[in-house]
Amino acid sequence: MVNAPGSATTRTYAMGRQADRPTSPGSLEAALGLALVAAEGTRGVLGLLRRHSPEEVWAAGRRDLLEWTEGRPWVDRFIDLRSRTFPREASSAVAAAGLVFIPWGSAGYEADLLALDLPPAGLFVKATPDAFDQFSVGARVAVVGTRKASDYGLRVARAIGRAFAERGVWVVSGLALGIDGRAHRGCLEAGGRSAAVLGCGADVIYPRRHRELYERVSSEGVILSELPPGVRPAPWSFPERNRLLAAISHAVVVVEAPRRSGALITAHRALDLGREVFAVPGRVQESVNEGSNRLLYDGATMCLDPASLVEDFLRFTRKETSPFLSGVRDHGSADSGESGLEQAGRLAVMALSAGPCSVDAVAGVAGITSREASAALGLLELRGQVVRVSPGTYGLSER
Amino acid sequence: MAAVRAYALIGTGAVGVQVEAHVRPGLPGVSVVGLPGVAVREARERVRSGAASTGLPLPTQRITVNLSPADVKKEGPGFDLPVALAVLAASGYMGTGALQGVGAMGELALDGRVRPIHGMLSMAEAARDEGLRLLVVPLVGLAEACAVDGVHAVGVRDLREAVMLLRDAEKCDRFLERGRRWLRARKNVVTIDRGPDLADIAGQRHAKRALEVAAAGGHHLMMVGPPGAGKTMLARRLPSVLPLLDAGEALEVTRVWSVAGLHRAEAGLATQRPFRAPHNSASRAAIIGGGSPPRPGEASLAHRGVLFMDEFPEFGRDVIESLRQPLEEGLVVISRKAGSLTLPAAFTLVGAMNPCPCGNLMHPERVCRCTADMLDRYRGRLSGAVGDRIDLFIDVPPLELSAFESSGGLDDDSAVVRARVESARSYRLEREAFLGTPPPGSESGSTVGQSHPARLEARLGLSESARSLLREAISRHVVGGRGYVRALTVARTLADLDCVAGISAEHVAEALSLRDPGYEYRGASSAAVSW
Ligand SMILES: Nc1ncnc2c1ncn2[C@@H]1O[C@H](COP(=O)(O)OP(=O)(O)OP(=O)(O)O)[C@@H](O)[C@H]1O
Ligand SMILES: [Mg+2]
Ligand SMILES: [Zn+2]
Repeated sequence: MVNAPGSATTRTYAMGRQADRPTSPGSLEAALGLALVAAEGTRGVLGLLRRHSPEEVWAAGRRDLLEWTEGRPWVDRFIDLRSRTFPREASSAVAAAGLVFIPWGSAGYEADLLALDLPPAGLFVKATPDAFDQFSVGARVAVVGTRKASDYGLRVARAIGRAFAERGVWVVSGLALGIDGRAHRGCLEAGGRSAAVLGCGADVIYPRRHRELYERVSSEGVILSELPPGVRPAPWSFPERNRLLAAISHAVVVVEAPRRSGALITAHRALDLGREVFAVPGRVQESVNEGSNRLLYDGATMCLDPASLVEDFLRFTRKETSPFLSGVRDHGSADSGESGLEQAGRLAVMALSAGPCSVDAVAGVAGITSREASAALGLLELRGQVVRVSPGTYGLSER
Repeated sequence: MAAVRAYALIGTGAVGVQVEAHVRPGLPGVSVVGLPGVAVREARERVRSGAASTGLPLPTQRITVNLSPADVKKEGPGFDLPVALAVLAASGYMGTGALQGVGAMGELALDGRVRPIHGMLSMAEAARDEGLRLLVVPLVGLAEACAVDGVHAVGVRDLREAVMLLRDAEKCDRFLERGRRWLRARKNVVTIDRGPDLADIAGQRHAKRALEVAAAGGHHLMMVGPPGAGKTMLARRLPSVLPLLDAGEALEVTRVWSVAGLHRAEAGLATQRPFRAPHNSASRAAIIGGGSPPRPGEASLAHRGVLFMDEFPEFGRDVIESLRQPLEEGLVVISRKAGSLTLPAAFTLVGAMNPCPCGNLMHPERVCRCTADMLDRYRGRLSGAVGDRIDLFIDVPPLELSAFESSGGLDDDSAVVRARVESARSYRLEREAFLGTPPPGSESGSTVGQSHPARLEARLGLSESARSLLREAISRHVVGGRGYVRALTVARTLADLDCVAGISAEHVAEALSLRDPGYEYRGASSAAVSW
């Protein structure tokens, strides 16, 4: 079965955003084709996306390619792979894997990705449209660190995840064991939203020990990768993933990173992009802290404690207004029993049991404000428990 | 020959007109050429007698006055003063250079006094843009002309003063100084009147809250209630809770009002937001503007203020339909022979209506005698493009006794409510600045429906519980597509009033209570009129 181009794959994502960069079916296919070919080994071709659109690259002749790349050796290999790649068929495989492809230049494609040496041809995303929309407008921080973390590191990572979650900041990490996983968990525990950037296909669960975490992040948050579905992790894919992690986040927090670690690569890529880098101080003479302490020595901002880290993040990234986004979470609705609204509704019903009256009269009898009364009556009317018996006068419904 | 600048009004703007006078031997008389309107042709008589009573009789020669460019229609008595000055200069009462770089405006009385005219603000702006050396204006209109930065205006009481100051630079300085003193003195006596205050209204807290919401979010509002419930009284107080006019808005309002001849010239700039309440028999032209010369209609006079339409369904269908453009774009376009004219018309619409034509629908004791057809026609005025843009509907019940037993102290007065409105508006701006430029035509106001729902919800910060309540409203068919967007936008305004990022379930519930309950009336009406 062959899908109509882009039908399942673009779905509702990215609608209405950045209308000046429309995505035609042709450019969607070209971007998908490039993503597939790049994953086969000619990643260099992505460098062309800084100057050319996927459509141009996908259609380019050998002469142009040689000229644009100043005669890179992979050009012929690319042409060969290109002739054997059929993006239209692949697009149904993407949909079958439960993924959505966000192509280069479409509205969901973060403009900062174009600042990378090798901009991805697109992102494969596993998320609800809703979550992805919120992700793309939200404040996002990467929290990264070593897989072989100390107890202290794990504790701090979790606290940091929670602290960001409480301010509505998306916690982005790599779903790895150790610090990554703990940061995701801390965030989710606090009711926040988390995103994972993978070094394998977005449908591939790696490490397997994080299956349950993967499920939670994909159902409540966003999982993304530039690699096509089914691609297994490879040693080269993690550094590449790290650059994506840096580009998609507004700042990077490093918790416990040895010298020569993925977390440090993420931090340096973030610095290249002009992002703020934060680091959690660790004990000296312990190899697990060598990289992160070095960052501090070189001028990264120190995490004094999780709360002030969040404040600094909001200030530095000028996301200080991010409470604008934190409202997507509810405060004490589920566990605190009756909500204020329901309570007002109950009082309003009691007030109306004496006979129909106006909003203001309901407020007076129930001892609530007029606006609480109108909210309560709005709810009760919606549920059919009260009706308007005459203009401005509510009464209990007969039913 | 002598020439001076004058200004012709086109809509709320003005364009420069060159007034040239030429004196030559021939049959004594004054002729005006160059598309003069009736009032401008009559200027001849006022100029002649004004000059004579000033002691500067016109020569018994042939005087031709030419107004150019010839294709601009020149209307109104404002050309009297410039015509007189050009004629007097051509007759040798002033040196040749006296009118160099000078503009003038004003009507002449037969005794030579100079009176204020319509549209002085717009004319002064045009003079400023032309970089005139001096603008001679009626002294009473000096405050209005001087509201324009960078205009060198001098006020005169009569034609004699105008001639004196143009002849003699020293005199000119004295008149300029007099003008400055005059403006300073005025400043101390002008009191800013904010109009009627919310504190005058007993009870009606629900309706007052709706006014606050309308002001904070720029929503249009419909009030449904029986006669005498206080709808007019409430609507009249909406301007008092809107933010004060800022400098730019004050210019806009003054321009329109001045052109319409409704602005008191000595008042300088407008300080109050307009409140206009046209009668339901008003014609389309009276609301939208038009005529020759074109006059701003009620929609433009309500610019930056409130247009109140009492007995909304009684307005003509064409009148209601014609509001579509101002509600969508904040302006009206009047088409005329000489091209179309755009006038500003950004207002908050407040409508008032009875539940049915006879007013007794659903009344506990009285009987409604309206037929189902009548009801449909009545409510039908609310459907369509204009009704769809009214976000807020409230019932205004008759005053209750309990309103006087003020529970919990006095209600907030307009200043307090206005402060909340202002903070909500600045919170909204801050939030929007943080979120960056929305996709074209999203969120704010009427075009909100063009955003994808999920995107809109994320952008507006809808919380989970709020979302599920809204979903429930949709699934119970309490709101449809448009109603969904309206409820969402109103809920956002409620959250802005609380200065919180997230829209809570309370906000959504309150927004739902502020929606059009029309369908329920209709459901009930079939029983009421079953006879
Ligand atoms: N809540 C109130 N507080 C103080 N005075 C009130 C109140 N309600 C009504 N009034 C008095 O009743 C008069 C009638 O009110 P208003 O003209 O605003 O009613 P309306 O709803 O516009 O009526 P209609 O439908 O006849 O136009 C007001 O001038 C005012 O004196
Ligand atoms: Mg009235
Ligand atoms: Zn009736």
